[in-house]
Amino acid sequence: MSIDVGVTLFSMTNEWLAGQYTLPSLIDEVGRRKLGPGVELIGFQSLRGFPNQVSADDIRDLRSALERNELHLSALASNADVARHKSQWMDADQSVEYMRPQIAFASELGVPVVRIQIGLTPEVLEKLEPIAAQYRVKLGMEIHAPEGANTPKVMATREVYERIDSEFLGFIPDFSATMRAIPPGMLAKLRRGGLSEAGISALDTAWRANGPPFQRYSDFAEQSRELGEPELPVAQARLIFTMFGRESLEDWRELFPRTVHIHAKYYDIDDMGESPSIDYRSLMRVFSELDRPVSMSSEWEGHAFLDLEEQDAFEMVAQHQAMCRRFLAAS
Amino acid sequence: MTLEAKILRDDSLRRTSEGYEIAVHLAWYRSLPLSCLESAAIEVAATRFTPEQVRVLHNGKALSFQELEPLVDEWWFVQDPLTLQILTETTLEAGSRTTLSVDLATRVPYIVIGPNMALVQRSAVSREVTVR
Repeated sequence: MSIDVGVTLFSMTNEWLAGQYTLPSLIDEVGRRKLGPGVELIGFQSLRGFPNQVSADDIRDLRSALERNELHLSALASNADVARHKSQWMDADQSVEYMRPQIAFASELGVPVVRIQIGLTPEVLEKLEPIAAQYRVKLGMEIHAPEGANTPKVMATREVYERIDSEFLGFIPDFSATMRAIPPGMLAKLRRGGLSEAGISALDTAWRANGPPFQRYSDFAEQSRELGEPELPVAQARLIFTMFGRESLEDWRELFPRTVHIHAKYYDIDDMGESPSIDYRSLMRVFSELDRPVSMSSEWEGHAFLDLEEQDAFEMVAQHQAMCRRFLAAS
Repeated sequence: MTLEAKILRDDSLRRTSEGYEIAVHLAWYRSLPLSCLESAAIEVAATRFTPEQVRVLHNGKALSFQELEPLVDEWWFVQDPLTLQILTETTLEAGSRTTLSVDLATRVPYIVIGPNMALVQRSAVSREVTVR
């Protein structure tokens, strides 16, 4: 098996937001349930004061929690936040300076990979590469819905990567890019919000259509107005067009030479041990072709529509890891 | 529900000498700068307060949403509540039950959904609370 299965703490977002855990106690639970050994975290989720003002006590507690559970950090997710100011978006130099302390933080903790986001332009990437090399941290651009391995934005990045040809610039395929259906749980949420069956059908049709996400969403929103759908579920459905992508999963192979980590995104696992919205059998077949060990985080995002009381995230991760191992073994 | 489910808790509404303070939790999975909170409308006991009537308490100041805009380096940590303030002369007695509603608009600064357009997450929630 060329994939090292681990977990991102993002999977436990419900438990985290409810205040049920501190970072060390969350890591203890991951260790107790044997969901590692690789653990990924999102700086702006798990760490107060990230990236410049994390307290020395918090860093020490994080290190000792990992150590006592025999876990290690596989990746640290950074954010680009280009629109943090509403009207003055970051320019290239501001983006570089926003990323620098996040990369430095990963280096301090010995994290091999920093997840970067697709919003970073070729110019920013060129300026970040020497920083990543200085800190000995690989930057992995997450290829997340609505992008895919060969959509125009990603092709532009691939060209920059080819030109710079650095081991510190890579990709993190995220399976949200290659989905086969809108997760049933998300549709249930919109139904509870008042979206009619005609609205659901219009949504599915728009989601499966071709064209840029905002255009497809606009088409759906216009149809919803004609159908008299309530405003809130229609507004909430906007996310569907950016969260769930329909690119071909076979195309992930194009990124293999520069794949530095994997986000095994999922929402649901049915009684047959399959994921209705994401074709894991095929994904594991494709990714088993990797010619070297690559870390993969089990990334459950069902908390986008399921509450804490409805699903235990730790259990979901355990089921998902078992599913991945089963399909990998069969590949 | 989900992220929305966590915005209000049973102890979110507190009566003050000037009106109410409302503790709200972030409707996103990670911390965001205060500059990303675009607006919040509130309804208490069937009285609606527009975003123009709502203030955000931060570092001892009561700020309008317009005043939050430049605060790109001030963080709303994802596990912490943020306190909103509304001024009103008539308030319910402490201990009484009422319906509290909040309608939040939060810009997600890294999800770009169109030319110069970032995702603005709308979250509208209501729950029965006990006035503190």
